[in-house]
Amino acid sequence: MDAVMETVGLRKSYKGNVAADDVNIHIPKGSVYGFVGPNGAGKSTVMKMILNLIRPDAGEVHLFGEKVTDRSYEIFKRVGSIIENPAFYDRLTARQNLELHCEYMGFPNKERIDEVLQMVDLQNVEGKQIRHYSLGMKQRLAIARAILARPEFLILDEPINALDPEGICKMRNLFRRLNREEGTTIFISSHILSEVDLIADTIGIIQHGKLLTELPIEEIHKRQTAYISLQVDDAARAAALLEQMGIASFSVLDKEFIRIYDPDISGKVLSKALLENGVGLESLWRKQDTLEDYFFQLMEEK
Amino acid sequence: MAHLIRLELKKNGFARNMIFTAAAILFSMLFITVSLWDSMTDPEQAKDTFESTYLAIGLLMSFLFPVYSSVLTARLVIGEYDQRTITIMFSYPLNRTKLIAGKLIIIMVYTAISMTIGYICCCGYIVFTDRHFDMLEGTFRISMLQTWIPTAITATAVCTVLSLWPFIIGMIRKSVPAAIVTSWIVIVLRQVMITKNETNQESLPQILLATTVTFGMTFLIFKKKVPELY
Repeated sequence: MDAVMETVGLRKSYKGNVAADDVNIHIPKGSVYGFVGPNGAGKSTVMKMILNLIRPDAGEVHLFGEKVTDRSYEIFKRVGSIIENPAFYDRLTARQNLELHCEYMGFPNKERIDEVLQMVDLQNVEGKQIRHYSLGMKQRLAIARAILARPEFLILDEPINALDPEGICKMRNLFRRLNREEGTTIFISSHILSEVDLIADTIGIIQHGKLLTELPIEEIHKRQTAYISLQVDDAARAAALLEQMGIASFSVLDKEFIRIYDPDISGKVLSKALLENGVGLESLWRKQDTLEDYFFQLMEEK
Repeated sequence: MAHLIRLELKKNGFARNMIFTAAAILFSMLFITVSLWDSMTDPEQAKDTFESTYLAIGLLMSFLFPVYSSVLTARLVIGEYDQRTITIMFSYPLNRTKLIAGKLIIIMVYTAISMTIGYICCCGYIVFTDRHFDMLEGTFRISMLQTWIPTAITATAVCTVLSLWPFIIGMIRKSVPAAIVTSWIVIVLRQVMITKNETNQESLPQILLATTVTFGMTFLIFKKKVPELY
């Protein structure tokens, strides 16, 4: 698949502190790429380098197959972005801000403003000056601005910050729709791993400026293990009983906890067997590793 | 570039700058009136002359409008960095040098036009008040314009060029107060310099030196500081 954006050996440091180190990202056309990492991992720095807002110390950024240089301007007609906190001209209204954006982007279709305001539920407050907007409203307006000129590639740095749960759900659906119906390639960073898990089809994990891994989400899901977790009063006796029952794939975590890596076993059968053999059962639950588990596992390994 | 300037004007609503220009000119006229009235009614004072009043006008023009132009610099340029709106501006498919240059052109043209209008209004006003109320010593002669016009043109040109200094220092520090304080310092230094000259205006070598240094520094700022977001 063609890459909409690629970075090759991207590196940036600030006064000796490495913010990005040999970062190689590949974003296929039509994909949603989730970019995750702890605070200060270098996500925003990488995104700014892609947008040519800061100059890398080394490495290259390729957008739509073209190398980004100091003189690359035209290419950004095809890119929409949100970087850092949403910034607007506070004394102008939402509509005026979006009209200016259209003019600067060289996008002539002003009717699209109504469309995007509706998409982010701001159609009723478009005449209000931005200084009277809440942070959540500003965030939604920033999303409207980013998608206004129908970009082929959308760079979203923490786009759901400050949104309420309903807003998060609506924006998630909006991004999905843009990706599926308009073929927009999306590069999204977020601290909320469950959100990234819901929307992304490729995941890049960054820590201390280094890209630790870049994988399709299916690959991560395949690696995620489903298991039954048991909390009992005597793990040794419970383990002996599990062996008697012919269950081989389990591990005793400590004196109380046992994990059975066969999620098909009936919970009812298990609890009955334990109780009949005098093993006190405190709790029993089924669990599947999430992206969050994978993320923390990877962080520990590195 | 014309398109960028038009957008900049649209974005910043230039009506309030026109209001400031009008207010500054009215303030200057009021100041002159008070001064003339005082010298006219106080028997211990000699009446103000056209020359001294013209000097006062020059002082007012070279103070009010350059200070206001630094406020414009702070709002149009430094404010974009301060408020982070520059990240949006720089993500547009536009030449960044042109984006900032457009703003500076607005500031410089504003300074030049408002100073010119100020000179015309205030000089016209003293001629008018003298003709109708005999407030000044002597009478106005057309030959006076031979001094007034070149002096006004020089002062306007020099102040327009010097209006770049708030941008230079403001960008080095990325600070709005630094931009405004710089305009005060530049005005004071200019006054100190020109009062040493007999003509009460800059000599040609001084103009050339100030212009070269100012444009050289502006070029450096464009190279080094404009692309930096922080």
